[in-house]
Amino acid sequence: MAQKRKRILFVDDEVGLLDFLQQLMGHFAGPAWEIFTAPDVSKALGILQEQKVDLLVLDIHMPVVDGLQFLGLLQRKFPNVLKVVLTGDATEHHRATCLSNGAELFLEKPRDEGGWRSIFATLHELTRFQPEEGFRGVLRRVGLQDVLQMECLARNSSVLKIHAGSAHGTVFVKEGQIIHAQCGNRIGEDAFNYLMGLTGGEFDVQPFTAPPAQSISGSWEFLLMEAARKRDEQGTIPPPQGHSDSGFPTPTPVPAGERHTPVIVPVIEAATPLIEVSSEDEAGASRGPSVRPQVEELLVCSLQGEVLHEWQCTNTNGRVGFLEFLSQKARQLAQGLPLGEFDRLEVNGENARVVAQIQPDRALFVRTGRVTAESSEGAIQP
Amino acid sequence: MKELINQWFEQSDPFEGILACGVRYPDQTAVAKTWSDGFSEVAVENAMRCVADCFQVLQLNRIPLTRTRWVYQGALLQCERRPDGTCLGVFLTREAEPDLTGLNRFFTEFQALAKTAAL
Repeated sequence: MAQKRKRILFVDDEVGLLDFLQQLMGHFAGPAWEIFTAPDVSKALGILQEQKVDLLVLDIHMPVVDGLQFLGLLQRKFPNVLKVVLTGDATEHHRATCLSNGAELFLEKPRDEGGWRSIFATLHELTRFQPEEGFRGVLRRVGLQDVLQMECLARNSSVLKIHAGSAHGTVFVKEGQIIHAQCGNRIGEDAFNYLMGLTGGEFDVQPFTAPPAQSISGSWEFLLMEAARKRDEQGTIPPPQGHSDSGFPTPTPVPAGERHTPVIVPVIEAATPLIEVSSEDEAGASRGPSVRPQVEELLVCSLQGEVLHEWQCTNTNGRVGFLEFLSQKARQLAQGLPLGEFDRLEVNGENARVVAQIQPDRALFVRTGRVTAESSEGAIQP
Repeated sequence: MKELINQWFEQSDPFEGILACGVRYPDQTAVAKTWSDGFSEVAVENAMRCVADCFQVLQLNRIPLTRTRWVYQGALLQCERRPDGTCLGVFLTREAEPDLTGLNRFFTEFQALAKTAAL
C-alpha cells in the first residue's frame, strides 16, 4: 500500500535557505514529502489554516514573532502538529526552552551535505510517528481568549462556536476583526463579554460564514481588554446547568474569592522512596528535631490547561506549561516499551520534592519542602 | 570521561528487578543494556533522550532536583543526572520488589565516577 504523502512546512526568515531546503529536501524525500515554505509566522499560519501539515520545522530568530513565541502559539492552536526547531544558535538554554514549549526535537543547522542528509533522516523518522488522537490529551492550554487573539493577529476570518452547559454562543471574526457575537438573547458586546466570562465549556473554530448582523465595531484589542476587566470586576460566570456535548467533564468553576484557598486534592498513591536514605542520614535525622514534608505549592488543571485549583503557585503558566511538556514527553518516552499508562513523575531534591501527575481528565503539580515539626504548625500535610 | 563511563556501564551486572538501563551523554549519544524481551536498546535510548530533555526543562523551571522517577502502570524508570549532564536511567519491574541495595550501589557508582573524573 502506498504511504501517505507527508506535508512538511519550513519556516525561516532566510528566503535563500528556504529555496535551498525546498530543493535539497525535495531531492532526498522524492514524492514522500510535499514541502511548503514560509518566510514569516503570518504566512506559516496561513498555510496551517489551509493544509493539514504533519511536521513544521522552524528557526528561532525571526523578526516580529520569533520561533519561541511561535512555538507557544502552535502548541495552543495546533498541538498535534509535530514541531522541530532548526537553528544556527543551538544554546542549551534555547534547547530547554524550545523543548518545554512543545518542540519534539532541537537541531543545529548543519554546514555540509552530510549534515543535511542526517537532518533529513531525522525528520523523516519523526514523521513516521503519528500523534495519537485523544491520548489522555497532550494538554492543550487553549483558552477562548488565546484563540481569539490568534485569529485576530493572523487576520483570519472564522466563526467560534461556544458551548457551555445549556448556553450556546457564537463569535464572528472577519479579517482579524470581531464583528458580531450572540448568545441566547444577548447580542453584540454584551454577548461577547458574557461568553468571555464563562469558565468552562468547549469551543470550535469553524470556517467563516456571514453573520446575521454586524453588532460589534470596536477594535479587538479593546474588546478583549474590556472583557477581561469586566471578568475581573464581576468574577467568572459558571456555565449554565444543562446537558453538555463535551466528551470531557466540564471543569468545575472556582469562584474568584476561593482561588487562593487551600484545597483538598485527589490523594496520590503513597510514593515510597525507591532509594532509601542512608543509615547515617537516618541517624542524623533522629538526633535533630523531627523533619516532615509540607506542601508549599499546588496546582490542578484541566486537560485544556485551565487552572481548576491553585495554592501558593508562583508561576502558574510555567507550571501548566511543564505539565503539558510532561504529558508529551511521557508519551514519547514509552514509545516501543511495554510500560503501560503513565501516572506520574516524582522529582526529588535535597530539601524539596515535586510530584507531577497526569490523569485522564486533569493534571496535578505538587511541590513539598521539608520543615521541622515546630515550624509546620498549621501547615497542610500531604 | 565518556570512555570511563562506557567501560563502567558495560561491566555493570544486573540485579533483581532491573529490566533495562541506559546512559545518555551530554553530546546526545546514548548506550543501553536490556534484560527483558520487550525492551529494545533503540527504545531505551529513545527513552533516555526524553529523560535528558526532562532534566533540562526541570532546571529551566527552577525545580531543584537530584533524581527523578517516572511511574508507569507496568514499570518504573529511576533516573539521576551527574553535574556534567550525563544521565543514567534504570527501568524496574513493578511486579516484584527490586534489589534496593543493588540499585543504590549502581547509582552511587555512577555518581562516584563523576567525582573521580573531577579530580
